[in-house]
Amino acid sequence: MSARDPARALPNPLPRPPDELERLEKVWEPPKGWRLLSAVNNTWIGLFYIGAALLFLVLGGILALVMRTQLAVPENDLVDYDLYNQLFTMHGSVMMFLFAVPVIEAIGILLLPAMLGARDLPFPRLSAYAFWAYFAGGIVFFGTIFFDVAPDGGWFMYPPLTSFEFSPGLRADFWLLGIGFIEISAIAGAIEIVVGILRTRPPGMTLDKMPVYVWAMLIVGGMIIFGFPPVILATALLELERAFHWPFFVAEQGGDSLLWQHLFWLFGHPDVYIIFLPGAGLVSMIIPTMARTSLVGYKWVVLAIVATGFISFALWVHHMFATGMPHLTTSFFSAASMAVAIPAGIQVFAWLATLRRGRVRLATPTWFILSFFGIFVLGGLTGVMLAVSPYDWQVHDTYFVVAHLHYVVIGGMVFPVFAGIYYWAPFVSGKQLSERMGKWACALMFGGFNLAFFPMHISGLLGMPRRVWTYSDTLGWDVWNMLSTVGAFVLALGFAIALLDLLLHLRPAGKVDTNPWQAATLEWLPIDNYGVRSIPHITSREPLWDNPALRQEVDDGRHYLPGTMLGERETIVTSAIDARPEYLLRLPGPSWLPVLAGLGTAAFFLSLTVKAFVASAIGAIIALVSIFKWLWQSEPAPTNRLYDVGGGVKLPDHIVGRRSHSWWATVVLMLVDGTIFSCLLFAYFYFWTVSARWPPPPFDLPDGVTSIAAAIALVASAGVFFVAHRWLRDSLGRGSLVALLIAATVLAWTALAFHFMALSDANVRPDQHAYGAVLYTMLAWQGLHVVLATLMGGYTAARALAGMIDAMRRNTFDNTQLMAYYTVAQGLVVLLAMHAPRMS
Amino acid sequence: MNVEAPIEGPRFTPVALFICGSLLIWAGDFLAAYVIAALACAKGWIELTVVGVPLVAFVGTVLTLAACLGTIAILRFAVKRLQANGQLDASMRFIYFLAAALGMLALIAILYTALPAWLLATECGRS
Repeated sequence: MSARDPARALPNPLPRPPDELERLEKVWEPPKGWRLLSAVNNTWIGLFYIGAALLFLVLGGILALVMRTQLAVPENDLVDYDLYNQLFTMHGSVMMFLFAVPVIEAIGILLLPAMLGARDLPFPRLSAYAFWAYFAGGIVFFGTIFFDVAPDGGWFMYPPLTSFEFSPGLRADFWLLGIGFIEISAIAGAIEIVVGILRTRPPGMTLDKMPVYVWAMLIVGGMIIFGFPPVILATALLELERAFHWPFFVAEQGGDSLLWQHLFWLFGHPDVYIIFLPGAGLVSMIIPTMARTSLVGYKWVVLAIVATGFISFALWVHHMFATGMPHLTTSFFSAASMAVAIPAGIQVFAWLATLRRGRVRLATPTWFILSFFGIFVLGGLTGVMLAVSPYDWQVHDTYFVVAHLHYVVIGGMVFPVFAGIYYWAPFVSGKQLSERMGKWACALMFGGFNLAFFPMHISGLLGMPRRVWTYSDTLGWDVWNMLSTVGAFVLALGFAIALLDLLLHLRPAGKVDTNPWQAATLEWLPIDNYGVRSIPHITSREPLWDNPALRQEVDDGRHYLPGTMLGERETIVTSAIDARPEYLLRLPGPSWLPVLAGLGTAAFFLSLTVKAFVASAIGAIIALVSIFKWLWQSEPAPTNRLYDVGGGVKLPDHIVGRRSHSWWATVVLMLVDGTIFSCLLFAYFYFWTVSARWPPPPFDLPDGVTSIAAAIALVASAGVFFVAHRWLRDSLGRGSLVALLIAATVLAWTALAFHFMALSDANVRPDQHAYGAVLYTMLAWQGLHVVLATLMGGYTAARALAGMIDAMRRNTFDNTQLMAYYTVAQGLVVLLAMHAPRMS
Repeated sequence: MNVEAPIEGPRFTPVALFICGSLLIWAGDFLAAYVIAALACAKGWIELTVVGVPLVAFVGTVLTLAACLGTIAILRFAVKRLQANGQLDASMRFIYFLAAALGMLALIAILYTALPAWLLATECGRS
């Protein structure tokens, strides 16, 4: 049904109450002046995020230019090998961790609320926290280059090169701990994106009506949830090895440096698609608008995105073809690496068909998209070449690979991102950027890119290894390197013009009412600080094309929730599959707490790196206190009323159980947690596989009786929670609830003590052999969860004592219970794994 | 007002598992085949045979058959529902289409990534 149907009744009538808009504006008014830094709504945080990511793009680019200048001529001595090592490590790390992943999340955080017609995503403070942790930590991390302590082991930091033996000092630690907060930030962003997409879509936006970009971000959010944990574990293991000499990667003590490569690339390869799929999503949004026709093969493009997300997890070993793994095992990954080209191809053909069918408008975004085609397809083709393992052996670690990865990453992500910047700039400021500057920028970027990176294929085939700081003039690499250097500077000029255009012409505006490209999707509805005036009811995939009156209807407040019901920031939470309105979500306003929590988190990790333990503890305390204080304000007291948001839809302002957005976020967090733990189990079984005997002599298995006692205590702890949950639904008194929480916590600690006794009685120590190291790491991981469960239990008890938990207001308890159950299940699996050798 | 009312409409987890079911089967099959091959090479089982067939090829075949059967079951169910077109709204048709099409893609992927187990079943050489 559309506005063309005269019988159509809109959810809310005209005229609207006179003070409705004024109240809405007041509630959503952003802080003024420097207090704007305390803003939490995603439109502002998205802009902060994109600005910071572009800053890191510039900084990483400057490092690249220094490297290219060094390599312009043979035997150059502009920089020495030591600084060069830091330059390429920081360039790769900054571009991948501080630019690429953050910018795709940032664009999502900025665009998704508008694309979903929501006032905001469900956890604005989480987004703000993620941004501040990333920005503060990233700046300090980058600053290490000025103090000669920047990491120098390459962006994938392979041990044993990065072990305490071969890389003493702080450089590797800065990478390992510095990347920690970026991982936390990325996962926080993913939780926001996944829960936001699934639970804040507008009424009627069923899965078949979701824009392709939203699909891409949903899949990418899932990929971050499962893709980042392996590298989180890997960095933790390497840091434990460096700090305490637990020999995970030391061959003489049962460790294996290949384990690092498995874990790193289990993250690293999906990461390529984590970067590419949002770029592809942007392309799928821009092309139909610029071609003035619907996307050809929408369903097939969605299918391709989902399939790519899955298959990308089966490619990691193709980065390890040259490690001497058996041909049989590498061949599985060779096959999968070729198979992933099929869904990528589906998308490319769908885009080409759309362009062919439409009447293409050749504006700046279109030029960036056309550039993307040429570059990305070439990168994809060299990717298929590299999937053939004998070919990979020939060019492994040469400049051919450098060329390939830049064609894929810059082609697949940077060009679509700049297309997106030019396309969505009017969404932010109400005005287009300069077409003239944009076209110059695109031409210089396209020409400069190809001049910089195409010759690298040839220098690679001529045998030039990556990461050499200079080369002899007898090798025949001079011309190709000079061309690459000239190209790099031309590319940089293109970037500079685009960024200058942004600085000159992008001014965030409050009210934006424009649709300059005549696009079809919801982000082009009139918006203000509160997002859309009313949340639209969606009946098609291209709502603005199918119902040209929708913009006016929404802005007049004729759709859902045209004002504020409780005088607070609110949005509608809908069901995940069929987008049926479920409840009114009360959103938090501006606050300094996420800023403090983010800065505290960054301070914790960075101070730990330089072994400033007091500062690190202060950082942790600031972060924890801030987080608990902000959580204290969440789950406000329900009013026990139903609110009419229009069209006869009456919604509660609170919900508990599985429909609550906080339950969803906790489940997603546990998926992250469970994936980290699965990787740890993988490490345990990996060591078992490569060891002749397990446990390796002279170690014994942990004591069975003590382990059984630990298991009983764990199960009892879960049982206490189960009872508390049942009784709470029947109005359990606050004193009894606190007593049960204390009992469950004591039981969890008792289990941990038995677990420790089982290990120590077996004379297993963590610093002698990988066997002990991995068992103690599992114990430490379990201990960390017991600490976390204790903190959550204490917080829940405090809320109970304050009268903030009862049968109808118990999301805090439910979340703590979920975490407690997870901790118990994990502890039982650890105990089982410890004793698994008894069965062999 | 009951804030804990039963969830109306299709539930997320079953729908998500149905859409991605065939890809999950492929992922499980792929992982299992890789683990078996890695263990065979690491533990020296590569020369073992079952009914005259190399261990890796035998296990690979069993896994592939099981994975194909699981995927075909999902595919068949989805196609049947799609053929009952009149009873489905656009949203549910889309869900069944995704399940069916991903099923076809997964079937290709399962067979394609099974090839190494058949062609290189005793090849633990390293380069």
